[in-house]
Amino acid sequence: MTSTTSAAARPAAGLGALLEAVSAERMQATVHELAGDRYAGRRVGTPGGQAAATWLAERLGELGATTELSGFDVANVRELYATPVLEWSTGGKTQRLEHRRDFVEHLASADLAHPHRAPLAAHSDSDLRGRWILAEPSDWARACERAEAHGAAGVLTARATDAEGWMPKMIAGPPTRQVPVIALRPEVHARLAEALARGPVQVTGSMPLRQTSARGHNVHARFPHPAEGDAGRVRVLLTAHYDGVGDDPGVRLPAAADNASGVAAVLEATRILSALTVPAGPDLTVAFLDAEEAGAWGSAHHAPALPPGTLVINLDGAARLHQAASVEAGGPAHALLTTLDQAARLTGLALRAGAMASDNRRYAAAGLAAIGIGMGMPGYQTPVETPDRVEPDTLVAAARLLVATVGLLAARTPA
Amino acid sequence: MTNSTSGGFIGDLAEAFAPPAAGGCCGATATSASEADQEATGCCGSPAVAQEAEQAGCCGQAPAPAGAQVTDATSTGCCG
Repeated sequence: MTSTTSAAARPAAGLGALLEAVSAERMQATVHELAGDRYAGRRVGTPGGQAAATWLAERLGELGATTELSGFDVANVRELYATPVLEWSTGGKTQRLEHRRDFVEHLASADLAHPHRAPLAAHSDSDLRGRWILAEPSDWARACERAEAHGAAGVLTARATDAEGWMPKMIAGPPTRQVPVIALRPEVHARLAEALARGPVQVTGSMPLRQTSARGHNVHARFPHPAEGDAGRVRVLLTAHYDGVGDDPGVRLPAAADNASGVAAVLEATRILSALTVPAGPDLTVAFLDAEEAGAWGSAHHAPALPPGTLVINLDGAARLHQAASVEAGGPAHALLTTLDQAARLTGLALRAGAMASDNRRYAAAGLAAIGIGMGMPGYQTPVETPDRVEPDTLVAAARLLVATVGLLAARTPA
Repeated sequence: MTNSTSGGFIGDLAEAFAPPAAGGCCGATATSASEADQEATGCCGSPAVAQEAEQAGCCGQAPAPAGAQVTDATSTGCCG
């Protein structure tokens, strides 16, 4: 181990200057890039996703990292291959519903490529053959069983919207049923129930949703370390997933918050930290992960390959800070969490305990100290998850937190 | 324990090891909305997604690929 580094040269001593070097403009440019048309929402296994991985590997390479695209297989990804149709009619009036506003694909749905018209029945009706079944949200699974047993056309259930009236997109879920399943906005569900109580209702619907397999690619980067070969040095891994749920057919889902914002902050922190030459400092690695939206496959692929003792910090969303950043810790992360707390105090960022069901859990489940951080995702997995909604101040707060945390870890490493 | 209104952890650090489900989504923390709104977005822990996920084990999380050490989705502490 090299022990010639003076205290003045170590990161904690110059932490203020490092924090000042964080650039909101660079991070905004990264967010705009990854949310751009050519990446098409960055769903795993798509040309857009692959292009994003390549772009990120190039940026890390420019910073001096050795980069690798590490491939892995992903199964059971839901793909909406056409815009679904849903309309209902009663008393001679037909109402056409809007996808992702009034209804959305249920993740357990069977594929129904073309619109199918059939009468609507209540879940409790005895005659279900050939009919769409209107089921309460708590009853959707039983309704599917009855629909399958009785040869029904499909199941309509309900799902709540977000605060802006959107029904967010997801691409992984429970096993596919044998019947189409469509989730309605609660108000639409209630209107259908009322109409059915008054008289016959006809429903015409399609659900062009299929399951696919895909090839995911993590972007792994490792920076040269002056103390190469020193097994005792602290290893820090910064992660953020770069994949999104992908565009809908003909509709952009830019995935600016989830998680172009997190990637931008990690990339900016990496840019600053990689410029340090600190023999006793942490061994810095970075992973931009694929297929989080499909079930955190990228981190599941990566976690088992990491050396024991690696400290993992995962950032999922850095787009709109609301009072405090959410933090979830897992594995032997007590010391890392204490350092994160100190870094937050140093940078003036409030933290609070909050569930972060993301890649950090894969690393923690593999026995590593892992912390997940979330700082907001306006427009989460909808068409309005756009770059203009990513707040520069939140990006800066996130990048500064990462820089300060790694800087403090470096300062504690015995020289 | 750190109590801070400006920077640092609000509450006990240990809470981060068992955070409340409300406030967190599947890979998201939709802090733009209230916790009630987050329930409505179909986040982890919400009734809507928990129902969908009950057979899969977790929100948007498939079991780890074969051969990986992490093979039990429920071990990741996901919703459902």
